[in-house]
Amino acid sequence: MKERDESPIVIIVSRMISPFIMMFGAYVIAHGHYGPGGGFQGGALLAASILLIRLTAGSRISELQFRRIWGTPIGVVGVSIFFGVGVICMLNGGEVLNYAHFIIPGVDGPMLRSLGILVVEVGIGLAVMGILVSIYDDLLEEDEPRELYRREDE
Amino acid sequence: MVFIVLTAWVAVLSKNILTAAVNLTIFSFLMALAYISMGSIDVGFTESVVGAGVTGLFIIIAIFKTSPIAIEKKQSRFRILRLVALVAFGAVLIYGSSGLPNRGDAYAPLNAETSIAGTPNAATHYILNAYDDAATPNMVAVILADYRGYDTLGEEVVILTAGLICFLLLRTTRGPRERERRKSDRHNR
Repeated sequence: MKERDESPIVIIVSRMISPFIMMFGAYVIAHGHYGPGGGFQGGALLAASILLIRLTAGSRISELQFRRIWGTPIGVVGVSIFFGVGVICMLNGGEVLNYAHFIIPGVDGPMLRSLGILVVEVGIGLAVMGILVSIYDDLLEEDEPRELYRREDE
Repeated sequence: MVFIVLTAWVAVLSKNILTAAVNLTIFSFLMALAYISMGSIDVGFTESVVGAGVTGLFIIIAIFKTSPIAIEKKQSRFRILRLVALVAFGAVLIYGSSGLPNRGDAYAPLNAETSIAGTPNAATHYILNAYDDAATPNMVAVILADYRGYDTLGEEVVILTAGLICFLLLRTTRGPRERERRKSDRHNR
């Protein structure tokens, strides 16, 4: 990348905005039943809030917030939540992803399907967030470690 | 609408790639507004978050990682032929779109209760049964995650595959051990 001028205005504004974007992402995932949005959009918003800090504060600070190696594992966890719900439904005697067989004690009928959708949306959100952040890290991966070496060498 | 056409024009024709990328994000955002004005809020939301936010960032990073050199446009001999082909293709698309039903047409085949083949239409079933089946007011969420769960699962796997391919292609260092080795190499030199 080019030389970065650390502007305090940019850093402070992004520090103020980023938690709100993250909050809104979580809201969009949880509120997907009642309004527009859902797992995909919410996950992209969560990723956007992390990428904002990464872009403005540099990787050394954002490493404290969200480690560089976490991206891909979180994506895998999200996809396996989705698959897990499907497999649980299948083991309980229904078709894959037929939430009527996704058994939670005390819940039945339509509410069960509603909860199944919520769990799946959380999985989608985690997967999208992890993968977007990991793509960003992969793109910038080459630059940052070298910088670190140089600093250590000096 | 005028701005959509304008930004698309600039994005395609500008010689600086960075200008093209920024124009592409503006185009994305205006497309999101167009989707919302047509009533499909979910699609507009996705477009504004992914198309205008994250994709623009990725494109700009990719440009900085490579080199921001303008592409030189080659003059070729088949220019007029290409222009004719382009105009003809556009004419075919416009002719095709004139056969589509108007938006919100109650008598369009998509909105009819039975399809042309005589079977009950999927859209009608969703609209009638979505709330009773899943106790969820947002019909789009029910269709995406419940009726069409397989499609969403496939999408998820596609995203994961894209992330893994980026991981495999772009990561060069493997971990602390290799970093140590590289550092010692550098010291030995």
